Amino acid sequence: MELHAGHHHVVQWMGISFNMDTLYMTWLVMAIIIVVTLLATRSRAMVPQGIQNVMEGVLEGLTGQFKTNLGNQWKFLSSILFTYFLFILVSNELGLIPSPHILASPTNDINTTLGLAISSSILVWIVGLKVKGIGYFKHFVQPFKLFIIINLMEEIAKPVTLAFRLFGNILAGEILLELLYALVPYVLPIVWLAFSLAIGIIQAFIFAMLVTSYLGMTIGDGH
Amino acid sequence: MGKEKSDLWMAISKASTTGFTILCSIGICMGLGYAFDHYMGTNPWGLLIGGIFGGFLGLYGVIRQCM
Repeated sequence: MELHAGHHHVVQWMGISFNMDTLYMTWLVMAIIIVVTLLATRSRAMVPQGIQNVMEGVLEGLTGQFKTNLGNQWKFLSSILFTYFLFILVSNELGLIPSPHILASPTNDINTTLGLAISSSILVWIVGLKVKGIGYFKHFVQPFKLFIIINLMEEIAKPVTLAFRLFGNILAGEILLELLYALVPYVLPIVWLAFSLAIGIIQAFIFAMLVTSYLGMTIGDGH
Repeated sequence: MGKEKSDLWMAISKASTTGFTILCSIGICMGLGYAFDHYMGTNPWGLLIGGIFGGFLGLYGVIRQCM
């Protein structure tokens, strides 16, 4: 039995490897998000209905979380955090749609999750510099100078942790789903599919929450 | 979303990443230790010290996140 989850169609170009299936799926995810957000905002009503209602419900739930953790900065940061959430949510769920090995989650590729995590770390540094200026770098030598090594290593560990958690959860879910389809083709895969749908939402939420937490630590006095 | 509910969700998010934080910290430091051993010929001290330092770094990261 050959497993398809986690296997990629690799193309070499100018000495760089490209996972083409991940690229196609990433473009598909972006297209889905653009279409959905356009549909949700095209003819907005005071009493929201249909897709506008769903989007407003999701974004209002997240806004409450952002406001609590980011204080005055939430308006400036909310759009990128919403984007992270929507991108990861659609990516996670895309791989669960039954298809003859055509659709796969872009988040089952470590390159995607690492890219998202590194971009979130860069965002934290930019926000830190914007809010605190050059004084932001003081936290690297706190509580005392010897901690600079530990603090620098922690800055590397943060995106790696974010990336591996998301990648591991999604890839493991897809592999197990494929195995269950092969071993017990009735009932059990449906149960796991429902569970994976919930996992996809939770993982997208956790990623957005952890980035919010890192931003909150940077903006707040505790950092 | 209320403050209590928001704090609860944040706590769940942080708790879910605790294991990975420690694992990744140990992995990164052991990798650096292994590379150090490879180039400096100090096998196995870099790997050992990297592992211990990684464990400490992971715990420090978790404690800082939870505080």
